[in-house]
Amino acid sequence: MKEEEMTGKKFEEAMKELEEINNRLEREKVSLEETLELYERGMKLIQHCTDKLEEADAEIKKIIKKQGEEVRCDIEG
Amino acid sequence: MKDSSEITAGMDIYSVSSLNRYVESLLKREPTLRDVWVKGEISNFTHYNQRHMYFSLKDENSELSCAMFENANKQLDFRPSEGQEVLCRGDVGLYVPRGRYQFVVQEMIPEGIGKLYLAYEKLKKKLDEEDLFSPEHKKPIPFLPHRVGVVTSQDGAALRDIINVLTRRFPNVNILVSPTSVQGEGSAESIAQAIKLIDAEDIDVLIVGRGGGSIEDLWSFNEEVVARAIFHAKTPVISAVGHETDVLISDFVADKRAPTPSAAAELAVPDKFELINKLDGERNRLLSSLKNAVHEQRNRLESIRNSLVFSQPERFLEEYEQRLDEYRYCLHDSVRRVIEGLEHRLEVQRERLRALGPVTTMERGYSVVLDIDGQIIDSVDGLSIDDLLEIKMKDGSVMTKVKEVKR
Repeated sequence: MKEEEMTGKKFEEAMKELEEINNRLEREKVSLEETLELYERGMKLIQHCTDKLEEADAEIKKIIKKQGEEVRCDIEG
Repeated sequence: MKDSSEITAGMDIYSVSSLNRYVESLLKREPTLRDVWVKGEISNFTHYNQRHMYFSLKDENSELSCAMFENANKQLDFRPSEGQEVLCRGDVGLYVPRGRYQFVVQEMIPEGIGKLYLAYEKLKKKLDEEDLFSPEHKKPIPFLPHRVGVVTSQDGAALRDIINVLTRRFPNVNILVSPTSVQGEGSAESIAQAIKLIDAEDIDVLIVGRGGGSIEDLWSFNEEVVARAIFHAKTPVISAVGHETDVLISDFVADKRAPTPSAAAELAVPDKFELINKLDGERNRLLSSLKNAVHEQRNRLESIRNSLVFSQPERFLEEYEQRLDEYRYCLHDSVRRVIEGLEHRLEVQRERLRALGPVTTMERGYSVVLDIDGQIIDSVDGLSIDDLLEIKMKDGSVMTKVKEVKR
């Protein structure tokens, strides 16, 4: 699995692939080797999704124009 | 006096009913009389059996008979009253039993609000014709935005609600607010400016809206300048104005309509804890699939281990030993047969040799003479008087002395 392929993956895409992997593992006869591969892939997808959930940094700011200048400040200001 | 049949000879004669029906069909076919707006004052209002409404609309010079049937008047959010100035939308028709033309009202708005409403309808039609509402212009709302933009009043309850819902659903959400006035003089331009300002920022989704209020309070969101700003924003826009029942131009042009600002916040970000739970669930599914697979393989291994070779190796060996014994026996047997064959051949040769040998000759009466050393004497040469000789016959031998040598 290529790392960059994972990095660019959207949360919902990763989640969908994860669900597909689980559906396959539960419904189909998969060899032990492939089960291990799918398990590893699934764990990477979970990590990726978890990372994505933590990506945004909690911040509430406002943007205003003061004398034509764009100013960013805390919301209460 | 002429007979009426003389006057009408060669003419089509209508019955009253058919003439009225004909006029009715003409009225129905006339597009300018369909879906028209009429302004007037209500008079002679009756709400018959609390079902259909009958009244006239009048101005200084004229009157118009109106009917507003139950299915239409059920939608009214006010009670029409005698003398009230209203705007009515409907179709011109004919009430055939009375031969009276009437206006069948589909929609009624109090004047005042009615004026705004007409402007709304006009703008809506214009923008619709320009294709601003069409689904192919709708951008999808991202599932997991990095930053949520908000255009609303800095002091309104809407901003508080939006921030509360956003942070409740996604505690580490990143919010950028572009404050604006949302009602009163110049508010539409202010909203449009705020949208343009924040749209240039790195945001993934934009909530544009305000809390509830009178239709006049919400009116900026029905203005063309706001509609166009929303349409031209490169960020997907969620429109969230007033309450569930308020539907404004901004709702039509936005990529998504939310009934309230709180609902817009719910649409903008997913519930983080729900997602974490879901991820946990998927992790558990993965783990149990792996466990099952390992368990299954272990069971297979166990059943192989329990098979004869591994569980009772001595029995497995016994079988081979038995086969080895069998081979050994076969080998032994063939060697024996070879030896017997050789022995038989030896016996035959011995028999033949015996037949040719001296013993047989002696049986026929011949004897063999040997000297004292057991050497065969086949000539008188070398024999002398008194030499000891042995004469072998078929059944024994005699010792004798030479008396005389003759030639």
